Amino acid sequence: MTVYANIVHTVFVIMLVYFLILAVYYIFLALIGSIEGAGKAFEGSVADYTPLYFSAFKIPVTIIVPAHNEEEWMEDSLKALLSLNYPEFEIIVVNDGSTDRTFSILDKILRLKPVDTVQVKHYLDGVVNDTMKSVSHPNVTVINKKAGAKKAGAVNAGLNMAKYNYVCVMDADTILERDSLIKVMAHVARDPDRIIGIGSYFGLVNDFRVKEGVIVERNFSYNPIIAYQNLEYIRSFIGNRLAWSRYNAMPTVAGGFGVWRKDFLYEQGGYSLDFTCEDIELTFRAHDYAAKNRKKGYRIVMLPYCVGWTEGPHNIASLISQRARWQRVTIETMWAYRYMMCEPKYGAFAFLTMPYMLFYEVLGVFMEMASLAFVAFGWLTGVLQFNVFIAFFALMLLLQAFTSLLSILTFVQGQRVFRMKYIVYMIFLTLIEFFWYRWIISIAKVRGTIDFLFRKKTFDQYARAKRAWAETPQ
Amino acid sequence: MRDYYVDIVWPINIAILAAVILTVAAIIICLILKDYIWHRRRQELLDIKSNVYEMAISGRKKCVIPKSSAPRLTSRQLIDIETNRGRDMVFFNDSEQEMFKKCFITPEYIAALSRTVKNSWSKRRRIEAIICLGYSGSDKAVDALAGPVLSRDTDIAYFSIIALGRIKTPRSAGLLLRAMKNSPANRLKISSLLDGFPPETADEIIKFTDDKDPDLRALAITLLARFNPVKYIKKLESLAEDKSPEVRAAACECLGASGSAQAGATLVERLKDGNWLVKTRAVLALEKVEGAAALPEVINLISDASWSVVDAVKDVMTSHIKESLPYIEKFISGKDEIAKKYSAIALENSGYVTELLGRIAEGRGDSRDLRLLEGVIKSGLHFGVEAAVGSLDSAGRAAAVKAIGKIDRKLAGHIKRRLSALERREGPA
Repeated sequence: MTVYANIVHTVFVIMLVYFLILAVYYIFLALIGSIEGAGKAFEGSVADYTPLYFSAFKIPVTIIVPAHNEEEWMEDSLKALLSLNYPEFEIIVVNDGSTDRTFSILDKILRLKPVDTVQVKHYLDGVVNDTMKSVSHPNVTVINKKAGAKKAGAVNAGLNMAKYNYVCVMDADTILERDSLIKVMAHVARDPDRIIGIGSYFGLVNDFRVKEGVIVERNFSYNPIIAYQNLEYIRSFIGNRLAWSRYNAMPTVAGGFGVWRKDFLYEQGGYSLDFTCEDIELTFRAHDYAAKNRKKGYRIVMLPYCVGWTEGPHNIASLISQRARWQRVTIETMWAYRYMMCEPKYGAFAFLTMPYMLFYEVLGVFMEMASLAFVAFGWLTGVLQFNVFIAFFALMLLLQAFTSLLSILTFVQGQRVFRMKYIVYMIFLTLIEFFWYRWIISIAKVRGTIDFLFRKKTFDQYARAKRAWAETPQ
Repeated sequence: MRDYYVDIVWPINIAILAAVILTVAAIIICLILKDYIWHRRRQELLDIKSNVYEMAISGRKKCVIPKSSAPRLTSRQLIDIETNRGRDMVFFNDSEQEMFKKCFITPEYIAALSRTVKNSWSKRRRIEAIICLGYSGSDKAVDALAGPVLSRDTDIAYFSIIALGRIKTPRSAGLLLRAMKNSPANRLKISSLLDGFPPETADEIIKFTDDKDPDLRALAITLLARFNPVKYIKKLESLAEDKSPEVRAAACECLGASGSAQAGATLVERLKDGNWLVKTRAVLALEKVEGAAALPEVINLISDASWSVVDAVKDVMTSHIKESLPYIEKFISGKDEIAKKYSAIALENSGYVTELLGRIAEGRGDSRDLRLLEGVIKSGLHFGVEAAVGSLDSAGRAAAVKAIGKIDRKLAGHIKRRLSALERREGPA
């Protein structure tokens, strides 16, 4: 019994230390993120966008929109892009083997005509059927390609056609704010030699009223599944990534909206077709490439500005499907780049981000489940008292709530995106997250880990909600 | 048993609970303060549209507007105006603007509005009067707006800028340029407004190229590039030697925009500048002025330390690929890795690699083609070659892979495997 009790005791101490280290890490990230966020918010409020409007400092951007069966959102996201407040940009929509009305929607808005282009292929993209130019919007190109090379192949097809040296890769279900690109590129313009990738915060569009690509009313969804995702986006973008960005240790520039310097993508061979999800792998590869090629001083940056809105899963099944895929690709990437862990040449990325990714993103779910199971087991076998179980449970709950609240505080200091009622609702959700939502995500993570172990490689697109409330005439 | 667990964990829990409560309180206080400030400001601004209608109605005889037609500004319009997002977004539509021009034209009314702008204690009343003055289009209105446009109050300054933007005269342009200096946050708006001003505005803009503020000098030069800068070549040449690199870069760009061969010598001189931005702009401007003849001047900058300069040289090579081939051949067989890499990029961006692979596949490739292909492969940028081979038909692919195999067997094998996998997945080429 003594040996057994000592084992339980040791495990208990390990668990406790794990959670306390995690808490200290989160508090550190929140504090740094808060400083970084406040600085960036101030810069944004007094930003001088003029240089971007003048030829001498203008940085033209190619926007690549891969679209596979996106009939629900295509019209609105395209119209939002067409009305971007940016001096020079081209849009390349890659219709990646859509079988729904995506192409006819594009044709209706753009009045497409086929063109003969000499397409220089720098990146593997699969089979391109044809290329079309818009009669009504000369800066828009549509590439029709055969499905099969995943989102990475679609983006590579866009990259092959891209004219400009900065490419903004986004999802077809993302509605960009009109000033999103100029806010982001204003930061790039300050240091174009060093900034190779840049991302910014975006929220969920579910339940918004969108008309002709313009968000008419921001009805933030009170569906807890959606609201929790908004909370997670704040935690992830504002709570963690701002701090990582300060130390140039960003693990991912989100696929929903991210700007990359094309010459850097070129040197790396574009997006990889070998991974299920392209964004995290590309960011890891960028760090790897920069370190191996002695590109000191390069930067991958995160901004706190709300650049747009994207659709999130609206029910538990869709959420689990999406998060399982995210978990799978995180592990795929971590496994592929495991040699970067604590390797000095990768700098803060190796010491600040990689251990977090391993111990929290990859193994965290098992640590949490094992912790509770151990403490519960200890209590059931009489080694630990019931109040120990309660105290440990309360510790996990409070740590979870506290780290979320720190992210919310950083977020509300910098900008006014959500209404007060909604923030209060999110605070409430934070306090009860540990009782249910946390475990939904845990299930998804376990499923993702199993999928990884079984070498699943498919890109599972979750079931989209029908937009009954959409005002766009279809 | 083991009660000390509880003794350790509960104090930690209590500390975190206290932190949770404090954080929630901080969030709520932050939200309440922000909401209060935002709502107050929004309400004041929302009333402006209907109040301007009221002022028009109570104005002069020529102006007949039924009171019922006075609409309020919508929240959406306000957001667009406030955040500067709709570059053409204004408080009033075209017909309203025409109507107000008639309403606010009389000297007495302009004088009354000017007094309001100067003396009123109410910020809201001042903004309304500023908007009305903008519609009057008179020189007197410009006088009245000279002070407010430099105001420290960001709302007063912003609406004065909008109003001056309506009065498209050289004098209002001068005031807007001065406002650029004072209000960096409004520079985007001001520059977009000045863009629509008549050509004689250039005479006003050129005065600001001597300003003490280098940012303003640079802005004035870049604005000048939008008008016809040919008559200011001499001035621009002297500005190309300014202390500020931003000014020198802007001058180079403006000289390029002039398209004048006279600018060539100055631009060549700027290629030796110590600043990357100046050199980049000089390279691109020289290409605009001299075309392919700029190549001998700019080509040595392929080894520059700045990526931006090298990229500009690459763009020049890409635009004039045939004329660049002798240089590219030299670089590709040389030891300078950057020159090698960017030469390969220029070859691929211009479509030359696909072209030469096509020739090699058809058996028409000459020794230079083979040398260039070897150089591209050995530069390490084989991804481009791989994709270019993928764009050929099956027979062409086989021939191209064979040719590549003579240079690099491993790469040829790799390409062959990748293309076979792609064909299996998506069908034959």
